Amino acid sequence: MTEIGCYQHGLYPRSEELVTATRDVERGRQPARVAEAQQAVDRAEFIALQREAGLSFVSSGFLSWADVFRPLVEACPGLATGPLVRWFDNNMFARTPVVCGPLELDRDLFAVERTEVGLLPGPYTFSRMAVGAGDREKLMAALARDLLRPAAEEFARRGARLVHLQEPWLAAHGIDEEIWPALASAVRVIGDGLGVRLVVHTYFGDAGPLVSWLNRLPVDAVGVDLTETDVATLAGTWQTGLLLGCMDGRSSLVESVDQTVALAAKILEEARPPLLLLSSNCDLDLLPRSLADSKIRVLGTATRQLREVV
Amino acid sequence: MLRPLITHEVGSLAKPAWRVKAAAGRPLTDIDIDEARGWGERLGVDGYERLLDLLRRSELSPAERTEVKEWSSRYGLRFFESAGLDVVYDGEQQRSEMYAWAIAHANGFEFRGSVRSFDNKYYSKAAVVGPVSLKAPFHDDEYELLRRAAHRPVKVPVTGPYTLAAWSFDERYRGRVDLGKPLADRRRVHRAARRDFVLDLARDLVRPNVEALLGLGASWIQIDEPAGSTEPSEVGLMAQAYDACVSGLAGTFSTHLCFSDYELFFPAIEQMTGCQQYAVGFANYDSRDLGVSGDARPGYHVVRRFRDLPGAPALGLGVIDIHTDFIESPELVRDRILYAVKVFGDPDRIQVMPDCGLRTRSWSVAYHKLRSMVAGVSLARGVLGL
Repeated sequence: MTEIGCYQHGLYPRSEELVTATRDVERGRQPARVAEAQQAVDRAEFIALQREAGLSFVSSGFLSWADVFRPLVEACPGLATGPLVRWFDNNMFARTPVVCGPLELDRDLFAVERTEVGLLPGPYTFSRMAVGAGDREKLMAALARDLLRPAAEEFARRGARLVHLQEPWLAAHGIDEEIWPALASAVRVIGDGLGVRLVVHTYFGDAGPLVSWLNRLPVDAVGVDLTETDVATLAGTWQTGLLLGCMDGRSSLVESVDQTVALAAKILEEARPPLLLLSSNCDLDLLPRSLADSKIRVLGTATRQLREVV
Repeated sequence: MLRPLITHEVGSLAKPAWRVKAAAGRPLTDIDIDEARGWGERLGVDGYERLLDLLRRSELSPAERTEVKEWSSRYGLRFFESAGLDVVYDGEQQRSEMYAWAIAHANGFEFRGSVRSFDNKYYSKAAVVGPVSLKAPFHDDEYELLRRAAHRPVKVPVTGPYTLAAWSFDERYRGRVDLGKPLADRRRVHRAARRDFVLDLARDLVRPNVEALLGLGASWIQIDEPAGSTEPSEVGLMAQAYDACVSGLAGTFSTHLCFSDYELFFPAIEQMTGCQQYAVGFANYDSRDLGVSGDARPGYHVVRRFRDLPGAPALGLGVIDIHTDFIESPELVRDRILYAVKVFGDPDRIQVMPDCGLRTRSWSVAYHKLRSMVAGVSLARGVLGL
């Protein structure tokens, strides 16, 4: 019997009001408290939306984060922000993490808000995007042990029921087969005994060629980007859970509930994972807030209907 | 094209608070008016007292708000001229933003809302929903104003078709996608849709706008493609669209590329036969150490690829990082230039500029950076005996 659920991962878009407030603060037109107050409003509205839509895990939305690396860089004296680089094939840019000293998380500086969904960059993507890293496999292991594991513990301590690791590099740029055991080991270091669910999610590329390895990762579920992946490649027996990235964070067209249910039901029938989670293919902060809100509603409704269908 | 190592800007400059507030009908403070006075004096803007008079009024008519925007353009023009640049424009003071301005003057689009670009920077993103066409040429008025006001040659920046497409949602060409269909079929549909969208923009929006500018006497038009490498497999499409904008037209045409892995542009941009200069940002990736060796200049290794382009186009060399307040020293600028000249073996093919538009910097920081850039060019000219 498959457990079915849904949640929204990643950075959630800011409202038009928060975009304006943040801009005004940065330009000295308003005090910082104006943006902070609006951010609290945005967060409360997002949480209410998820509850109303019936999502299984409720995310804070990480509205203050500039990108997925920044809170870790700011909480680790051995990391610095580097040049802006394109965030895969998007008109969005992230600042490269630069390794400039020992990797150690200052837990006081890693002041994440309470959230049921924790968010971290995956060790493989982090090690590939970092500058000044030296041996990238060694870096991946060190990141997992000294930075990502403590950060995951912080999320768990503050109420997270699930930690979501973003691994876009895997599907977007690929991975050499001999690196998979090191990646599996790094993921195990992050998740072993954590006490919350762990999901590794790859996107911005075709996960089909990676399926046999993804299926063996020591996690509760692996996520794929259905906008870039052939559904047929997911057929087979899944030992691990499956997260379907079926709300397209790069399209302004809002998905149909019926099509989403039909697609998920088909995959469920063909893959039979122990856990099936519905979500977006990538962070929704590539969309304006109002469109993202619409997709959250579809996500909740589609999951509810899927449970009824199966 | 002027002398070796000519300097120019790339595009945007921050809009002064007095311009933003006046255009929005919001009250101005004494600080805003002092800023207008201070820069008016510093830049030697003729007749700026008229601007101060306008800014002191409690309410501005629509015509007066337009006049304030025109003053902002004059200030921008003098800003670059006073900093010592050889080729100038107004920092796009008339435009809302490089994407939104073009889309607002096009048929076939609807704005959907704000989307993050990086950090806390957002832009207003539209969706294409119908046939694309030009409502009316949208740089003519600013060009007429600047042509009359400029003391130096001008270069008009125009947002390119690939960037307009890449920064838009597509609700028309591709439509709704059935994720249950085979991936190969979906990708085929995506490629065809993207191609139609980009080439429609080139033919029916950007090219008629370029033709209108040429008709008014514009001689150098820079077609900006900051999104050029967003999808590496589409760089050839970007190049094809560029030529669709300019082929058969008489003028100097250049492009601007930034914040990319520039290796991705090769060999596709070898097709861009109508491009006489590539303005490319490099400083963002470079070391701040002095030196002209390859080790000292890690951000500039890729310039050799531009050297080898067919037709020997010029390279607009980005030497100023626009994402930091760090003021590059003239010596650092000099060394970046000397490295590129060494690789090219020909200073005539090197021109000098900031990495990108300076709109994220304050005017004070931007001015210091540009003055330092110009000083660095003088040092480089001295070393090269130019």
